Amino acid sequence: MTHAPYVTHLLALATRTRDPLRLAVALRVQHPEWGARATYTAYGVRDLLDHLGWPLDTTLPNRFEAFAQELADAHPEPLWALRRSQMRQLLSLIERPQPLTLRQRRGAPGVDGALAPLLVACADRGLTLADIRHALGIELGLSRSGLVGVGGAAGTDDSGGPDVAGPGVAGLTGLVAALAPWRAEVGGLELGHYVDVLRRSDREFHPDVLRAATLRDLAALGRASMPSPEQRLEASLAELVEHDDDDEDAFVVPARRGAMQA
Amino acid sequence: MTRLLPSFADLMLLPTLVDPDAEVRLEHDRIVVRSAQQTLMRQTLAVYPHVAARVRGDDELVLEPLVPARARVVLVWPAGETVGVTVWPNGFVSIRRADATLDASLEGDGVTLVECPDGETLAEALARLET
Repeated sequence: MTHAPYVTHLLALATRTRDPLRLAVALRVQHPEWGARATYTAYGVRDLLDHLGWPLDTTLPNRFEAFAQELADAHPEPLWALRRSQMRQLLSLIERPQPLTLRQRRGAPGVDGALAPLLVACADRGLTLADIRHALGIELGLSRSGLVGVGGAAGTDDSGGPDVAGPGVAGLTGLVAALAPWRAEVGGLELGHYVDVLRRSDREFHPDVLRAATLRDLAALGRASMPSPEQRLEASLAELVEHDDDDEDAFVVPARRGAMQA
Repeated sequence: MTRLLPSFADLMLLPTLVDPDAEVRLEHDRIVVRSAQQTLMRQTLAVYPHVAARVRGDDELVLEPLVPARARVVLVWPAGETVGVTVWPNGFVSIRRADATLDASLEGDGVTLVECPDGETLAEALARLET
């Protein structure tokens, strides 16, 4: 197994799953002082990464600049500066990852002494408890996204999967194989025990802890970005009136020569 | 002129680019921006079609979500390149992967496929969508 920094493992998982939530977790480790800003950054660049392609490698700034060049005249505004700054932040994740490696505490209550180091290795590779259970075939089909296939039930190798270029997380298949005899114990493991296998100073960086923090940010942001039921009703009524009165003001994509209707 | 639309995540970060001393916070279901440069902040943030911006007190701008009309388009070039575009009022667009845009269409909104002639740039195609 390699000993790449924790951030590098998280970034590889984010790339592999194309998951902004995992990217937010990587940013939280890289910049512990950021807090919710990590979430906003990851979700802010999500569409751009979807468009440019997710492989988060050193070619990203060039891919971004090519895109920027094409639309340069169209972006005289702060959003453009924000994106450039975010591209630099993503590059720093790749080139200058925090040299953090998650370590085991001495004596982890509730976890067998032989299982604990395997769990620490899983945490250090950015795996949540749900990821581990998924990989062991304990919980399948929990979520459409975000779960990592790491051999075993998921049936992928360590290279990052066939559809996602870029680095994988080294040693995942071996780790899952080593965990296979512990399937029953992992199935009954409480999240608190998984977090507690880490030394105290590392627990705030545990993938499940940071994932929970990111989800809290998202819930708050979701409230701010969703119109209230009253606003939606008002908009629906306005649209009805608009269509009723005169279609001229309605917003429609103009018909194109040769346009195909999906 | 075509402009990329900032997401709500972007709106949490943009104000400090306009005024490094600005404070941005979520107040339940709205974004509140406190800045001494209120006029500049309003000029920057009150133009987006997906938020209503209103001034509160002397130095706060409150952003609330709106429900704008929109269209989803997939631009298709003869060589096979595709780009997904969500079109908002007043020339704003969001750009995504075409398949992500098509996925989104499953949520209920239709998608229009627009053929782009060989050699047409993305900027030119977006300009066409505007007219």
